[in-house]
Amino acid sequence: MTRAMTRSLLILLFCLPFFASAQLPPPQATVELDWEPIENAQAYEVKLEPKDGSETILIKATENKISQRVPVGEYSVRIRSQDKKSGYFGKWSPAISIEVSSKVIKLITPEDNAILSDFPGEEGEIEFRWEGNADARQYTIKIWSDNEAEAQEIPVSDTVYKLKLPLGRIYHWNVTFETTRAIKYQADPMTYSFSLLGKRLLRPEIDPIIQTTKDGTTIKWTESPEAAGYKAQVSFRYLDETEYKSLAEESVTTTTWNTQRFKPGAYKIEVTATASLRMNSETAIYEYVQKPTEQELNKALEPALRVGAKPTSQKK
Amino acid sequence: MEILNRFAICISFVLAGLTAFAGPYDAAPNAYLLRAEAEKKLCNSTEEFVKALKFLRDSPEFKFHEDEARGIALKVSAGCSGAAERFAQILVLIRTTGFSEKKSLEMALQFAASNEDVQRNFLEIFSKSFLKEFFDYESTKALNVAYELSRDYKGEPGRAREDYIALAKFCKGNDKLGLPMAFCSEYVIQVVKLSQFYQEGIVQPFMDLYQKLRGEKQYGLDMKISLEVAYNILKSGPRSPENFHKAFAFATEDLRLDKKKSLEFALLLADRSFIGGKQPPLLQFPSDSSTVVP
Repeated sequence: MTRAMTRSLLILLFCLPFFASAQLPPPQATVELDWEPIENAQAYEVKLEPKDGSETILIKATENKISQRVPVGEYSVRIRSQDKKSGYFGKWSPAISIEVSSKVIKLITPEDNAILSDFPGEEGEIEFRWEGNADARQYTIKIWSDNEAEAQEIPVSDTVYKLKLPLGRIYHWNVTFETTRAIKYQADPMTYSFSLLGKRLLRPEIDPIIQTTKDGTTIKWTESPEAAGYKAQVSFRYLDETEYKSLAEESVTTTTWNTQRFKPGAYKIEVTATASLRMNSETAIYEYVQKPTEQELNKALEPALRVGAKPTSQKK
Repeated sequence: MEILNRFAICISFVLAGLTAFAGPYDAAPNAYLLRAEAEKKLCNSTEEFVKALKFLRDSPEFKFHEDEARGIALKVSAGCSGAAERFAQILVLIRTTGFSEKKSLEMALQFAASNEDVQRNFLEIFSKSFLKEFFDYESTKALNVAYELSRDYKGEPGRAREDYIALAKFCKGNDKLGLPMAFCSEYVIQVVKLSQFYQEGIVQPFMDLYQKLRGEKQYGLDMKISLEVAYNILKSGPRSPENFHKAFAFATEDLRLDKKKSLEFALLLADRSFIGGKQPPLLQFPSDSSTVVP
């Protein structure tokens, strides 16, 4: 049983650095170990013996894995199981060496919180790049998304790796490495995330019929399939000017936007379809001139027409 | 220029004074003419200043500071009698149609200094060209057309205005030609520009010619060709229609040319009806304009 345990012992280390001040204990990191389960075992004991001779750490586990914060350093690790019926512990497994370290591998690209877009098709090829470590014999890149339960773990000898990933998801990644002494190190305490945006949404078409009433102006456009909403914006310029100035901006979920009443002048209406984890559509632009009606113009001219009128004689 | 005007006014006053002293029957005919000319240059400048200032103060859509309003009113008063009214109308027109306050003011001051007919032409032609209910031109084009038929027009301004409105109605009217707005807007402007060469305006010569080309058996032209030929004849001045008809008759009766050749011959002679200067270019509708002109 002990041999089987030794053979099947799989170790994965994920260490989070702990930067302690002078008054605090030495830096710690999290050691994560798992191994194949033993039949009829009700519990396990894991013994971490620091190679510097300091105090041994004994960890009890009811499952075939542990995650425990320990001081950084090299350890000899042994595991034994407790029999369900008798309650006796078996023999310790042969020792393996691990190093719990806060050594850092710096991730380069994709940068943390990057938003990647403009990929044709359903997948995007991503180039992962990180800084190398002189002691590293092999790296392991771990990539997972919020949509998937299982992470992909890929052994890589170089510090660059290209991988095609489905679009429209948020991904997380980190890199661990193994030294020439076959000791697994933690690689980078930070896990980077990036968003891989899905295909560009279809551009909506703005209806050229802009309705202005005394209460306001209504702008309509065609629906963009799969859009969650629209960013609508209107800018204004006087007819003799060339530059538009932003007048109103709003995010709407419908294909109709009721905005402030357009007074006469030139308008630029811009609508962009948006959706979570999809590339925004190209912006639909429609330039429109709001003209007064003949009736409105005549009404506005009334006071000006009275300027030349002779004053009416007043009765005494 | 202003100094010269003032000098001319002073001379007029001196001459008018001398005339009054000598008595009306002793005045030389030249003095009467000079006085009449001077009368045109007499201005109620104070009244114009006051009217312009009051208008600027009372108009809610213009928010000029008092000092600024006084400065503007002073400029308006230089435009002589009626300047305040001309100023106010153009200011409101340009502002209401969507131009900036700066542009509105600049144009209003320009027309305050012009004569009433020129200003009225601009106002009416710009409104008709710009408004959706009429020609629905884009703003720059509407301004250009209005300038062409007002400030830059060489003939009698009132005539151009009347011709423009009459021809526009004829071209667009469902009971007349009933042609599309886009076509009429272009064509009417071309024809009205010829108005300055016709003492009584272009409408009547155009109507007479068009009806003959369409209705008389010897021509029997379709609407598109009739409109094109009518313009190409009228552009050569008032003698041109007569020359055209005579030449066409001679070509068919004496020269025994067919209808097409007779038309070409008549147009050639019509084109030679005016040698006083450069004529407007020949009008030729695109060959696919049948979609525009029925």
